[in-house]
Amino acid sequence: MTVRRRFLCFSVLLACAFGCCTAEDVAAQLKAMQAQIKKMNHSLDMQSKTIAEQKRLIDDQRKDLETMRGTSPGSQPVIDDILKKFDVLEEKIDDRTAQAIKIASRKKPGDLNMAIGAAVDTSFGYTSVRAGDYDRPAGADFRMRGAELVFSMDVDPFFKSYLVVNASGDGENNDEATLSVEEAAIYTTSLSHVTVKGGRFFAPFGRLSSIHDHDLPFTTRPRSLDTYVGAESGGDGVQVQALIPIQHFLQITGGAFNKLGGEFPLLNATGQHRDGSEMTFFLKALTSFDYCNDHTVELGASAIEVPSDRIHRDLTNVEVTYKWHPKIGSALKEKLIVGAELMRNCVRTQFEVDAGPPRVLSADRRTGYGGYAYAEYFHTRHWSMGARADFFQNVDPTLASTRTDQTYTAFATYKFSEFSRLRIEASRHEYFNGRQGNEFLIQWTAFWGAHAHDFNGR
Amino acid sequence: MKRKFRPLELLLLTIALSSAAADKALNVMTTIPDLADIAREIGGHAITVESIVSGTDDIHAVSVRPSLVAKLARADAVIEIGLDLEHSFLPSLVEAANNPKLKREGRIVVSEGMIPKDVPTVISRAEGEQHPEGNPHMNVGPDSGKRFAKNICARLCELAPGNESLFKANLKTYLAKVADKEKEWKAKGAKLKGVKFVTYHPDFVYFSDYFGMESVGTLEPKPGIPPSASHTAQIITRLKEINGTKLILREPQYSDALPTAIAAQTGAKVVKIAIMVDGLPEAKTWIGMIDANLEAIIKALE
Repeated sequence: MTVRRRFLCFSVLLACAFGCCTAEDVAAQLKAMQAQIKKMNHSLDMQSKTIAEQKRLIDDQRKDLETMRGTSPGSQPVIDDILKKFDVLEEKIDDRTAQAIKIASRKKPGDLNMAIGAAVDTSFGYTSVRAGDYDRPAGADFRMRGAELVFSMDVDPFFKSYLVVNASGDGENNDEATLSVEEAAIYTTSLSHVTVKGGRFFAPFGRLSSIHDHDLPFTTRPRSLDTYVGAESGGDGVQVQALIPIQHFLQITGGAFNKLGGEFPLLNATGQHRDGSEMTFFLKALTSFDYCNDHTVELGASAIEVPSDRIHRDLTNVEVTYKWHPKIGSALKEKLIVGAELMRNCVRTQFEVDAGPPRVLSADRRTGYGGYAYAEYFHTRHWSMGARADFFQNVDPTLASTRTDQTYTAFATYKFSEFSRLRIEASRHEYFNGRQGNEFLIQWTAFWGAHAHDFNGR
Repeated sequence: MKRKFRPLELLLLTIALSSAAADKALNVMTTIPDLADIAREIGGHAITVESIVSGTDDIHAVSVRPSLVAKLARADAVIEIGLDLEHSFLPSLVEAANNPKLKREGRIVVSEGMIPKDVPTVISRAEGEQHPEGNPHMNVGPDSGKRFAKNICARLCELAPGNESLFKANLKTYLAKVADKEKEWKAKGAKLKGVKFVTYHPDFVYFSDYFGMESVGTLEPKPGIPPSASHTAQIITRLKEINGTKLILREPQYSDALPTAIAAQTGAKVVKIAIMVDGLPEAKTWIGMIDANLEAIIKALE
């Protein structure tokens, strides 16, 4: 019953997503669905009542026999035998009921539903001074940060696939939202301890680089990640992730990509030949430790490298996340998460100065450090608040500054339910060009459709 | 010529035969401690069992630890209630563990064949954090243990056929124990008939329906939505209108501030209950949890 209802619900959602139905069609379909569900529930109710009535009759008979046994000791063996038969009969009723329910719940071929989910993420903000590297203005700004659609499905017994399309307001294009494919990947599901993934996806560099903007613990991505990685660590490539078959959790991930993020660029996109050294390579190890089930510490190390001679980049990262989640006592509804990532960014690039025929004028190697640390305290399942400190050193050889860019942020989140939340965030920026600014944001996010909790988002 | 090593050969043959006949201990994970307790009763020495969640966890917001991934990666089976109860943690852990067994023969859903209560007729997020297939908190129902045990036994027999006779013998013993306890619960619980109560979340219907208790509402206006001032005022009004004993059943996962405040205004009694094994100190087993809840409510009525 419920499988058919779920299939009908997703069919309607899918039709609406592609604009195939008018609002009146959808309303009519929903009404028809509700009527069908009522009918099926009524049928099940009637069956339950019949079964309950049969059991009541058996109970009544049993009570009568118990009374008889007390008043007529001579017939005890006969009565005991009848009581045993009643036990067997009741068990048969239970088993028959179970079989009937299993048959009724059996999935039919039409129930191969794809999971569809979406997220709508918006914000209002005010910034006193904007750094030169943002595409949003200073001052007041409403922003459609993201409208994201996610599709996922088991392809067959061996693979699963998913697709994420996203649109966000583009300040350089009159705030128009251009749809783009953020992720489209296939991964294995039948290999023990190993997952192979290919396509376009986010490599799990560090802790937050593979998290979508609307799923971050705060509104803005740390500037150190934005600058060193370039937004999310997405690219086209292949990745192998292995869970080492030992008692302790140890996960090793490695991959090769055309590029990763915005800062590991696509080399020779339309050139004659892309050398293997011009691809981007990624490696990560992650482990965790538990103490008394209340405390968990996760430790990880990752690295991204473009080994090319022309533009050599390597970015290494260590991450640590501490979680306190008490299981007993008055504090058991509370939770504390402390997370930090520290990166070393090493860039060697050859750059041109004149506008004439490209010629190499200088080669420069810059090394800089950056990272962030944050803490978020969950007072209840619905309320949380936190703070973050973020810094990074400039590694752009065309900029003379040797200052450290710093940001200090406070944020608070209220979850109305598992599917919607409101967040406020206030930041103080000290940019490495010497300017300072304050930023205030209110973020409003809603999730709908199929709802999956991802392990990466833990 | 006499063969010197016949006894040794016989011994080795016996060991080989017994190893072939008996499967090695199954490594079983369960989602909640109630299922771990019942699985231990059925599986005996032939299985090792561990629960993912503890008795005081909020099942709707379980903290996912990477160490659980390593445990599930090595497990032969995972036992769950189903009906979306474990949606906040189990699918992501099973996917990360990448253990093909847990996606096929090793997945044991104990609610199979049971009629769920509170199946919603309107599926909409406007109704809160719904469970579209019905109320999944079946483990608190005194008549659920038998079906859980039978389902677990049937699946363990498929996974480890060499231990089938052990599992079936343990099942028979456990069912007899539960049958005796059910008689006791029915007798003791007769005084619960008609008793009116509220809970924080709609997670007690299988217990309350069994004993004929009557729910007046929940502190959450809708599942997963925190109590609002207007809804709390409605609950207070409803409780004040009740003559006789009225109870506020407090699950350990939720704050006691609001139940205590409502009790002060309405004369209701706050009773701590467990909705999973280990939710109360006395609730060490599934049978113990039903006993503990029954005792706590009866004590409040006296």
